[in-house]
Amino acid sequence: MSPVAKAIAVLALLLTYAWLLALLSLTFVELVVMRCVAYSPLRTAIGLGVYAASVVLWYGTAKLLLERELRKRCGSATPTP
Amino acid sequence: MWAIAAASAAASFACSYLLTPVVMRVARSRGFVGVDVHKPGRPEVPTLGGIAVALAIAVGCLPLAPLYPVQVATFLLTTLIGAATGLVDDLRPLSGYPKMIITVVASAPLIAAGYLFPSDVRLGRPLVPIMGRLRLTIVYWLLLPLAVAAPSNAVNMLEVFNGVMPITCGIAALSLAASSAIAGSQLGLALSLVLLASLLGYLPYNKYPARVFSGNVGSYAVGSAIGALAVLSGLEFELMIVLLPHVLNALLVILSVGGIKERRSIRVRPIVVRPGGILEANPDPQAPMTLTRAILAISGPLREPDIVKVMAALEAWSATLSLLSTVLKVVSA
Repeated sequence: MSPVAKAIAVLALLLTYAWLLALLSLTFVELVVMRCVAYSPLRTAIGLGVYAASVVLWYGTAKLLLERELRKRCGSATPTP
Repeated sequence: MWAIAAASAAASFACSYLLTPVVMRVARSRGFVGVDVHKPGRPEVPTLGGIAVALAIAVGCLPLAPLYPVQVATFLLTTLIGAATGLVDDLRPLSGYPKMIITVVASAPLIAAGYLFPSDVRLGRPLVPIMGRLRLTIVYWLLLPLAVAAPSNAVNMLEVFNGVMPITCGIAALSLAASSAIAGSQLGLALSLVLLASLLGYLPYNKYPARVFSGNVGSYAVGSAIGALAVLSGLEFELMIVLLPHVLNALLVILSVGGIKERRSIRVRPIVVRPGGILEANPDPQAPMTLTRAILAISGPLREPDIVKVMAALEAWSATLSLLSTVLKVVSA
């Protein structure tokens, strides 16, 4: 696999992961939170929390993956003073 | 309707294609030039090319106005407020947070139209794949200002190479046009084609090696237009998905530099330019993480056009996921 194709494949996987997370979090909020929590403000807070958690999960995965690639590429990274 | 939509797109393309050289000449003569830092010799290139794109969108909307007066006026106002924000930033650079707040104001026409003309502009309860209409009675209105502010800032943040903005946003507009066609939104289809045509008319001047830069005026106008057309056509979920490369870049930048900061104030650059115009990920741990740095970290050193090709491929993949979302929406409705 060429380096350009590898970059496209890895990052496209990351985008697909975001899409799946978005669908899963929407489904979870609609099927579980909206049905099980009766108090509207609490439902809103939990729903927002679920969406925020999915963004954090996605970002965390992306950050770990990209930092690992960066360490592999620039193993002897020069620390700034 | 189809004849008018075609006429709108043609007017938008012609306006963008013919106006851009004029804007280039005026910008150069008035000293509005930027340095192309990714090329050997660091040539000076006229900026503010986005003015032509914003005007082309406005001209392209005119034939549609009699058919959808409220929606087109809302779309146009949102786009022009975005463009004005970018122009102010080009003439007198604003810092990160004020710029973010001003772009939130660009969503005011959408909110006003939804409140004043609820039969023309239906807001709230977005349709999503599998689950159908969401019960977002409070959260939708809290998030609505971000529907314009987020795309405009995200498009602006990714506009770092020749041709990236018209190529990625053109693919996004094409995808939203297809989604509108599948979902049966004639308004969405017409507005998407106007936006796509304005970007196609501009691309020959901005593609590598660029003869003009868009400036913030271009990226903010186009980002606001994408946000507005998605909300007006009920394609909020597709908007989020189609701009995933922009969102990823924005998240990486904001969280790695610790907030919303002006590009010029970031001291360590994410990439390093080697002789011959070869770009490499900056190994400095203090360098911010960006989509470009991520691409270079995975692939190794690349030339500018190759990075743009990777970004275009990622945008095409996001556009595919967005289209798949529309299909799922229609199937599950």
